[in-house]
Amino acid sequence: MKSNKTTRYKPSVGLAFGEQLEMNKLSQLSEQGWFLERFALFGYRLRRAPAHKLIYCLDMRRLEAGEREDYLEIFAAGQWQHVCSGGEFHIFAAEPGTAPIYTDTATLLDKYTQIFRTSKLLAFSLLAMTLAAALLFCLSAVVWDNATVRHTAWVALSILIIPLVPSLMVYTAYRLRIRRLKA
Amino acid sequence: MSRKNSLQMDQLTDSAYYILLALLTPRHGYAIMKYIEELTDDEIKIGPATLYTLIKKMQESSLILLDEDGEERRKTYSITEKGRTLIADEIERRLRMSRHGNLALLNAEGDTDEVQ
Repeated sequence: MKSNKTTRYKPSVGLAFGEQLEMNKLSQLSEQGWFLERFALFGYRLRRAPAHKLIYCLDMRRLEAGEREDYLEIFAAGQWQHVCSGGEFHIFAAEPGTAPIYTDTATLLDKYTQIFRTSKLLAFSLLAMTLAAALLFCLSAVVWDNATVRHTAWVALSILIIPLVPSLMVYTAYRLRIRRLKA
Repeated sequence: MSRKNSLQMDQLTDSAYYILLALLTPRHGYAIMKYIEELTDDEIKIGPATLYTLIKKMQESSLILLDEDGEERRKTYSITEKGRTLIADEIERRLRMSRHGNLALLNAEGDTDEVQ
């Protein structure tokens, strides 16, 4: 970390797996004079500024057109300043000691409901396609003995396996989080 | 797990109850939070994400309306007739619950006296 740099990149472990961990890390970085500026590919872009401890939190919400201003205003009223948004993810910063953005479990559950449904749909769609490709591969090898179909199925299988694993992990992470909140 | 779960029943969660109480007078987001704190002597604080989530749900359930007033830049929310009926019932229900609690306490005291 050179002292003359004004921006830097910080990789993210994925908000599905370590949301609180990431927020705590961003808070520690603010104490060292690095402040979240925006989301970057698989991580965050940070900017240098005089060190000042902030706390961070994440909200997930699909905002319709025209809702954004009202949404950010209500957060500002609760002393949470909007930092950046990426799709349905919105990060806010506040002074230490500011009351949390969710004050009851029912609405905190709502926070994860939409993303959980999306992750479920994605994971199960990929799983279905992977199983279909695997079945096709087995049939073409054992029943039809068709090299073209076998190769095509093998390529499809290889491509599908790559996103299948992380999508199942994300789905499991949200499923566990919702289960913990309901307990 | 429906998005409107908590509001399709005839009962309100504590947070929704306080937000509706605040909206008996039209208010904007910041004023809703402030009023709840004043009303409850700082016992109840509603976070912005909880407030926003519930405002959206209550709009969907027609309990509150968004007043798009051109004069004020800020958006103001107000309670509908349906919301008024619900909050009146809810205040009554919570009063009954409170009375049940007091009765149970009195009964328990009576039982202890009998034992002694």
